[in-house]
Amino acid sequence: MKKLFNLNAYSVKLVAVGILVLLPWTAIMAQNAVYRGLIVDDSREPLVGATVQVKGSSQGAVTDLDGKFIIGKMKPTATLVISYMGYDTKEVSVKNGDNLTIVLRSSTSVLNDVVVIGYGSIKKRDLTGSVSTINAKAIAERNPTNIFDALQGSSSGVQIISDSGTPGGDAYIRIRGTSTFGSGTTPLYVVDGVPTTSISFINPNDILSMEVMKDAASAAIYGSRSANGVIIITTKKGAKGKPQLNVQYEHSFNTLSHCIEQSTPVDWRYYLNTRYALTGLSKYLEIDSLKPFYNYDGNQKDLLFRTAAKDKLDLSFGGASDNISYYLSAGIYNEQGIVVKSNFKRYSLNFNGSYKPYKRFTIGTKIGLTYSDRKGINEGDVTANFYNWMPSWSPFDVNGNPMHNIGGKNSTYSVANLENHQYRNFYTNALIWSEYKFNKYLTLRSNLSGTYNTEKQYYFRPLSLGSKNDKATGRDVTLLNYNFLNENYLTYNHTIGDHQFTVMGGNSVQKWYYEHARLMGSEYTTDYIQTLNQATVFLASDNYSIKEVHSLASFFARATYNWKSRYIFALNIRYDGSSRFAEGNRWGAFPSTSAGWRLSDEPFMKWAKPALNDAKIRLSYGVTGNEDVGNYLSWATYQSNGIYDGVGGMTPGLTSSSLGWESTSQYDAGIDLNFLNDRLILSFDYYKKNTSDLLYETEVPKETGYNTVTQNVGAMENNGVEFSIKMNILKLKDWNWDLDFNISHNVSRIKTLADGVPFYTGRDGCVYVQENHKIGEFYGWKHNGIFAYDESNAFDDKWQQLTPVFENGKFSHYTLNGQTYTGDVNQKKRNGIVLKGGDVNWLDNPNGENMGVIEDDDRVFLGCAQPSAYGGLNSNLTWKSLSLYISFFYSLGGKFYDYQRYQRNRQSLDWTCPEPSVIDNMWVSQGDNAIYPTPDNRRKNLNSNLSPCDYWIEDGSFIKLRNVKLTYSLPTSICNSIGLNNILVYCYGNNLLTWTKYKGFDPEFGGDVLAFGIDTGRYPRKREIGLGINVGF
Amino acid sequence: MKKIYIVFMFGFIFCVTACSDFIDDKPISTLSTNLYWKTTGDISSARAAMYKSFADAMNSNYFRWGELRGGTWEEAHDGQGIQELVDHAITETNSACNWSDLYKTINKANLIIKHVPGMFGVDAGIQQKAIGEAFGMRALSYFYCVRVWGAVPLFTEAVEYYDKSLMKPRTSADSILVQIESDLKRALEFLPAMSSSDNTRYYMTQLGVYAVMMDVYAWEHKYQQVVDLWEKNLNVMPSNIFAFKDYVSTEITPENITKWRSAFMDGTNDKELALTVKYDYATDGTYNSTKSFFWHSGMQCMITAKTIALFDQNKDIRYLGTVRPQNDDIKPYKLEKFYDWGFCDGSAHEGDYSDNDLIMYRYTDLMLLYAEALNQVGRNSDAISYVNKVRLRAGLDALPSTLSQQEIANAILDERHLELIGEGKYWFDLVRTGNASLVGCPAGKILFPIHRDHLNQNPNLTQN
Repeated sequence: MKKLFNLNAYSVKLVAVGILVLLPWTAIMAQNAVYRGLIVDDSREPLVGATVQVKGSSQGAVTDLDGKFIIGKMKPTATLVISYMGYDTKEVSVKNGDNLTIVLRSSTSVLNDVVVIGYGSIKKRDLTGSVSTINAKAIAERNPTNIFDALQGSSSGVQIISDSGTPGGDAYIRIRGTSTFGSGTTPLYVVDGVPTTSISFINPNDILSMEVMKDAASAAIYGSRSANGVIIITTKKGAKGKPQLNVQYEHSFNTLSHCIEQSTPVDWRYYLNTRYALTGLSKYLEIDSLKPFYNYDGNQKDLLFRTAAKDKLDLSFGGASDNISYYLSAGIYNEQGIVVKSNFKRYSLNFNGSYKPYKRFTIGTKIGLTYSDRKGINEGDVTANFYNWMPSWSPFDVNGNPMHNIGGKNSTYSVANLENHQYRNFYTNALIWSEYKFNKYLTLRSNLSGTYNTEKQYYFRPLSLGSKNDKATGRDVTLLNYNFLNENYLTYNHTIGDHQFTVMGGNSVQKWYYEHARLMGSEYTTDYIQTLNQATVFLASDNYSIKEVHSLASFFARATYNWKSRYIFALNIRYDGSSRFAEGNRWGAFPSTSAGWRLSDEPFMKWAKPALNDAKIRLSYGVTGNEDVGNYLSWATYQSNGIYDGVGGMTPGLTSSSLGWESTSQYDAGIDLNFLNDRLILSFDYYKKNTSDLLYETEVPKETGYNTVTQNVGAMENNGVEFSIKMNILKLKDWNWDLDFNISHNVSRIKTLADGVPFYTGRDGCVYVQENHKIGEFYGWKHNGIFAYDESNAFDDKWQQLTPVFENGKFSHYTLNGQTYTGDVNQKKRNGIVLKGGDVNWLDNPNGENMGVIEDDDRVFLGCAQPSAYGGLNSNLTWKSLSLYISFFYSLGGKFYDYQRYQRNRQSLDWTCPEPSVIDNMWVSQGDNAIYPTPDNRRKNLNSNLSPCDYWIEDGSFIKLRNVKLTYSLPTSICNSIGLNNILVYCYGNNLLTWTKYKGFDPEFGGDVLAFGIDTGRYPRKREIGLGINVGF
Repeated sequence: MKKIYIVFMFGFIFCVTACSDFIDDKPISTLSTNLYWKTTGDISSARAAMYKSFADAMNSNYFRWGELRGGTWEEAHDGQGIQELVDHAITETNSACNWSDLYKTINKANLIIKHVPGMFGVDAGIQQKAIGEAFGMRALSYFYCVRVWGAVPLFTEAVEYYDKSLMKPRTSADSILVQIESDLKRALEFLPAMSSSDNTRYYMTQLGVYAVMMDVYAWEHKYQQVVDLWEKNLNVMPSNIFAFKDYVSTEITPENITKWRSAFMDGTNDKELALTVKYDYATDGTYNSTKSFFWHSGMQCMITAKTIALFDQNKDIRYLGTVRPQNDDIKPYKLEKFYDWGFCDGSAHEGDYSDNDLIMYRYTDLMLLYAEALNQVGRNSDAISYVNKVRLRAGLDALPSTLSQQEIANAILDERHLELIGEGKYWFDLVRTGNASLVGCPAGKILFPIHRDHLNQNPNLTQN
């Protein structure tokens, strides 16, 4: 105890003052006491410091440490007025007797909602950090598959882009922009006090609330894992009262939401014919062929995509009495993918219970089991390939059997049907917690948790799929991760009059174990047995097992003080030690501080009270860290790699000798304004994040003999503003309409790089990373049309293009701005070849070297993948028992590199069919005013094969109608008459509409930390329409 | 109740005190540097890593560096990035412009040269051999660098920790060649003399070092040294180690063709061979990927009709030993020499991984280099006699003894062309003898460009 008080000298003084002032006073009052009472809250906890006033007189009292009060003689008809901050004021007549227990209800204001923060909770009223809350009701409205669906567009500052449309897929989540280069970008999830980085196991139906900690003051209590923000998830517990059984079932139909336009067999034959002619080859056989194989007229799309069904069943049973609380839930989720053969199943079981054997001691346990089974697809061969399949070629032979391999190219239909990509996950988590209350103020909490997770990945590619050079190959990968956590912390909570303070301190240790084993074999004896006992060739270089360990030890503390909730201060510190860093750099301190000022409670703001019921200004600053890098990067190690003459080689890794923490400091200033009794709530935040000592795996010059090294290389910054508005537009007897809207703007910018050296990353080096520039900037070649004639490649000394003039079909002379030009003629070249008619007129960067030569330094800025704004709009309209929920999600201003379109239209291979608009607008003969270059195979490296270029940079802005849900709640009388509590029936649609100019499948797809917005032809997204019912017994 | 409280407090205190040890996790599946370089096993694994890097370099670039620009080839229908090599209009993103694997070999050689001499308690013979091999492999890697890019950055110290002084500018080709010569001489100091039982050619031996050295001298036009090296060092090797394979009959029969191909097909220990790179799918998981250039589906390059016309198809046994004519209008000729394509429809064994080793140097190659040097130092008739040895073995007529020096030089070049098709030589031969323009290469385009990535990653580099 003594040690704790030393932590904060200020709070010691406060305690002293409180005791001195309060104790003698209550003692004096007691001498004349005639009327006694106890004041408690909803959960029967005593309220300390509540004011008791005799109505119409100056007589009064304040409740003591046990919530009790004693008041002097008064009229028997007197009325007591009991008030307490955050609770509805209550009037009690004394004639009801002595020794009453008076229950105060917390006021319904949103300001009294409890917000869970790290190692504790706080009323929204007293919050000084920037935290968004999503509760169970808001989650349920969205019919989510995972927490990402539940969070997307729901709160400002949180950008969620689902990785692809694959069932059971992951998402790309950024809280207030990207503040790291190479280490992890996912936020830390804290589920019922247990930190974790993977969240796919959780059934959204089990979630009571999610709190997103956006600023450093809120997140820094999680120290070295908090730089990307923290999401605290609280799962459902049994509610007091009778046991409740709840059953929910829904069924939906999923279809492809948007398909890319495909070329017709006629387009394809024309294209191939033209290509051969221009390349100077004779016609390809197919053109004349009468074989049915070359005259397929089915739709490739219909072979791959289907209308898929999804079923979801959730059961829960829970209840609580004074000493015991229990909640059990079971969920079954079964989704077919819209691409044939793909699917996702999840089964989850949860138990959450607590028991209070003694008055001061509570012990609880939570056990969760989840099994999931996902069948994925080979995106590279299926979704990225199907639309460039030769449209006249049949995937079937004359007998209708699938042709697996045609001319060295696998049929997308066969790959989708025959390849097996299975991911199964077995997840178990057990938590035992206990809480010991020393007295009213001091509580010790201990968490002991173990998590065990196994992922089994199976892969099989049958022989029948391969061309002659392929073998049947298979993989069986086991990833075993388990970790243990112990956390203990003491919380001291005290309110004395208008002074409220909390001190919390504790420690945490967590250890992770990783085991990764890969079995890989080939040349299976049969395609029908797909386990590795049938493989005949196992290569030493493909098979391995790896073990790793990682530990984190931490101390943390927090102190908060507020006076009448008007002036609020908080101080956090965490001290973390990680095994991942070099000795000497292992420990790091992460402090944060914040303050709040409730402007609306100041006397000078009294005039505004009727309209502005609450106004609060928040300020915070803090330092968060990131340790999410490889476990042994600070060690110089040799690892086995490659075999020569039967001897395994040992290859050194390149090490930076001083690897340490990446840290982010963040300033946040915010204001919350609640008008008209919370019917209009505005919230605005500005923040600035500076990240230094970025952990990044940088490419090193290959002359060193290495590829990359991980080092602390530089600094970046994020600046942003967030705005949200919540409105209760209608509040009538039968009508209620809530509308909320949020918008966020964030710019991630690189400040310094290792030695200031810029670098290219992403596909074909399309992203250029340089100091004082935004991240996600695409650099490439720009073009200015196609040379119509061979003679069109002509420029004057200032590189203005000359116009060729033809007389009688023969070139005569050039003109410039209408004047005949007789000076020197310069021509553009690439790779030493003079560009001619049908070639792209690439722009030559005037700042580059070698004017007229199209080379590397002619690459210029083409656009940035960061959106300038993103957010959501959610509306909930209720009329009697009907409610309609609609949500939109939008992202505006980002540019994408449509890499799948480039792959399709680069004309580098014969067996790739371009899109119809390219075939229609390509250069074919002299004088064509074309949009796309000649299909001449010999010119491809001068033209269409150049990557990246502005042809395929597209606007990625979009607005999506994310959810629509219509719910009807059956009248209670009907429910009760059949012995039920409530019945809800609903129908819903997800991803119904997208407004975008983007030409790919969908403008929503994931990416790397630095190279995002690059569309490689991911699993496309579904449109979902479903029905559901929820019955409470 | 009290008990619970005590247990809590103990747990708390225990966790607080043990933290520093708690976070001290050591690598389990990798070896920290201070535990390496201790045993002969470590020497073996370091050598294996070095050879593997070189095998990787050759697997991707053996054809691209030495063959494809030699006028022998054209892009097949599905070729990828091949035509620009054939046309000498190479873009800076062509994979042939990438030197990563060569420099990995060099760094691994540097590590051996740095660490192995200081090891205690290991067999001195094994130590010496490894150091010698490292010098030899470093020289061979730099020799490729010089021939492909000219001036390149020079690293002779092992890189283990990263700092920016590693961004070196290019060192002139002449200085690199000086380093190569010195490395080769040091290699000879460390490597054991050839013994008749030592017949593995996929490691660097004295024989291999002499072969590289001869090629280096020829590249530098130090013809007298080429002649001396052959006469004093190579020609005196025991004949069961290194010798000209003479076949009894030159009649064109499948059996004789197979015999002629034996050095390429099954001979890791063939006495024709001086230095090879090993590929073995079953033991090493590696295979000779040059075969994939000629898969019928996805064939990347093929022999030009012009090259085919150089063969005297009626007499030269090498024609069917080298070329497989196919019944295909678009892709008529593919390389037969190294690969087992099967004998039925040309595709039965197409998918089999090729274990055939890539030949760096062999007897006939070096003998023709010797002939070239003889011709240059004025020993014309000796030169003709060595060319004729090759011609006669192939079934051709001897050259007349009346040829001029220039005619002999041309004859040697032609002979090297036909004899060494597919062996990564002819483009370098053209450059060495100043004949690159014969295959349409403009004077300024002889060197390959440096890959775009290399230039981006090291601003001190300049493009060719």
